[in-house]
Amino acid sequence: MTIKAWPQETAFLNALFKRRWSAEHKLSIYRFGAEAEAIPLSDLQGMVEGVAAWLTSLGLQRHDRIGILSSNRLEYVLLDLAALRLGLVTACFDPASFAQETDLVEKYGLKQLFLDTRVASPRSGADHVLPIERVLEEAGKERDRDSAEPVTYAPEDISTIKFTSGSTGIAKGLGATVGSIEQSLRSTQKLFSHGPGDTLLVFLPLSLLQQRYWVYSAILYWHDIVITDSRLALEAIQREHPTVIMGVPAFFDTLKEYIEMSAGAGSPRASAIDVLGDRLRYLWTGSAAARPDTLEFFEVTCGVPIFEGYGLNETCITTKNHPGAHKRGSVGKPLDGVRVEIDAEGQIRVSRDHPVNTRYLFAPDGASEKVFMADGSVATGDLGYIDDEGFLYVMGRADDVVVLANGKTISVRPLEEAILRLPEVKQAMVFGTGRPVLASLVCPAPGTNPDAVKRAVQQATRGFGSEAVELVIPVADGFSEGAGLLTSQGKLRRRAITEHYHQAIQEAYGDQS
Amino acid sequence: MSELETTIRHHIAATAKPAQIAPEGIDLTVDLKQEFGISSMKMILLMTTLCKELGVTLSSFDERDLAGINSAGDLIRAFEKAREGVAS
Repeated sequence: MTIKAWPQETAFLNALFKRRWSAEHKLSIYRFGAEAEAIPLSDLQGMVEGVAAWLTSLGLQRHDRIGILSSNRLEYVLLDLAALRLGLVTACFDPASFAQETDLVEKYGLKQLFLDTRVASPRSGADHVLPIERVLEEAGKERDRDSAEPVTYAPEDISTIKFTSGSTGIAKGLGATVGSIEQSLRSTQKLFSHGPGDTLLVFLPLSLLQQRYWVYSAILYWHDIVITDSRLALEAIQREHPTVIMGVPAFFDTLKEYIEMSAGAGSPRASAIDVLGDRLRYLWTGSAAARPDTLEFFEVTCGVPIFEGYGLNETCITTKNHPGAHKRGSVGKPLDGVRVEIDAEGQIRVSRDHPVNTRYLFAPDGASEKVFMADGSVATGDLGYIDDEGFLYVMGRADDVVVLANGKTISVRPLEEAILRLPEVKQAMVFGTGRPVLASLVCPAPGTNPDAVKRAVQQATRGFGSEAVELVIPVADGFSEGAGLLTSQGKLRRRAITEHYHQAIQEAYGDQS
Repeated sequence: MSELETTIRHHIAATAKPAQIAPEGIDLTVDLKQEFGISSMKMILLMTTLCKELGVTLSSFDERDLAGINSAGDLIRAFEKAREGVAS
């Protein structure tokens, strides 16, 4: 792996624990069943030191791997920061995908797994499993806290493992280099200048590394941060009036609806100010394509900038609209140190000064070679183009992976295989990119009852993680090569099929589209 | 019908739009997601709106209670309990 040397004095994560954190800025936590609490960052630093001392007393050492399977809560932040302080490698599991897995300790080589018992039950390897609630208890205990200096990272060091959504099949795990984290922090800060006076609202799972960036950003750039989960996001918005909201398209669709309902027959712009407050600088959206009408609502109707961006686990933040360069409908221009190219097949390829990595740590054989190219670029699997001004536009997936409006990534092939095993079905194509739920076009076997087919498909696609096919659209004529809907090898031409049945798809989604 | 039940029925119908649902015709026992398409995101919208109107803080709900809300009847019971908490 070729990584540019990072000047020691500007290495952010190394600087994180060698300076005093701000007493004027705070981390606020909203959770169910408790009052919101606000902790000055200076106090947070003391708690992190306490947790680091506890982890050391457990025998954990640099490069040891710890797992976190938890909802968003203060203990998560403390663990993550203490692990960074000690040079432990965190493996952060999204409860939505991993709550049912019982062998995380063995499967991922964890020295310790911290478990939120509200979202997952204790499991095998119990010797290495601790309830995450213990973190807060231990943070305040007296221990020798000066025994070790904070670790010093090199750019190629791995500080955390990111996982793909894993809604179907085997989740892929990817070690993230410190250099890639620092490059992303530095380049986004250059675009948005977060600082004193800002309050960033974070409610997407902290298992996503990018959400934890904003904690590091608060410490480095001295701003407030509010952490909650998506169910409390609207409440937190109305009570905190953040300056920045980090979200995904499905959330902003809901926020739009909430503002419209609150407005009634009145002015949406006035309602937006009432709901969002008058401090809002911008809305951050990514992970999936935003609906054009939602973008227009916020920008034009409400006068609130909403910036779309683009990136994968494998590339980190790649492009971003921002106050200095914004074109609605695009996903912005490449960040500093990122190069975007469109290959001969129309696929988006991404290279970085500091790559996230050059292969997966956990993945089926051959998966790394399909994504991490020999020239150092990442083959994203997305189709796109770059306009004359350098803005990137994403057209859709090149393969069979669907990204729902809530950002969940789902490989549709196992679902289609399950559907095709049904005697009632001749052909099927599952889709849903940018939509709230999965749908399937289905060509039923002759003489079958459409309602029976629908029920059978919904039933057959349960048990593939958190997403099943909810909408079933029967098509009488089926997919044929002659109609341009199948390749000569009999593979689905997904885009052509989607266009061919556009009307039926629109009707099926109705207001959900 | 109590004032609370009337309010909840009204907001379920509003959240389920554009589906045309008569508030008074809502079966209190049916699953809101399956019957009216109130997905998890729509449920956030519904809960937040109800909390605002009924003077209840959403974060005051117990997470386990929330997980058990599937029908209009569940919502009514949850808000009755939450309002008792506010009053006491």
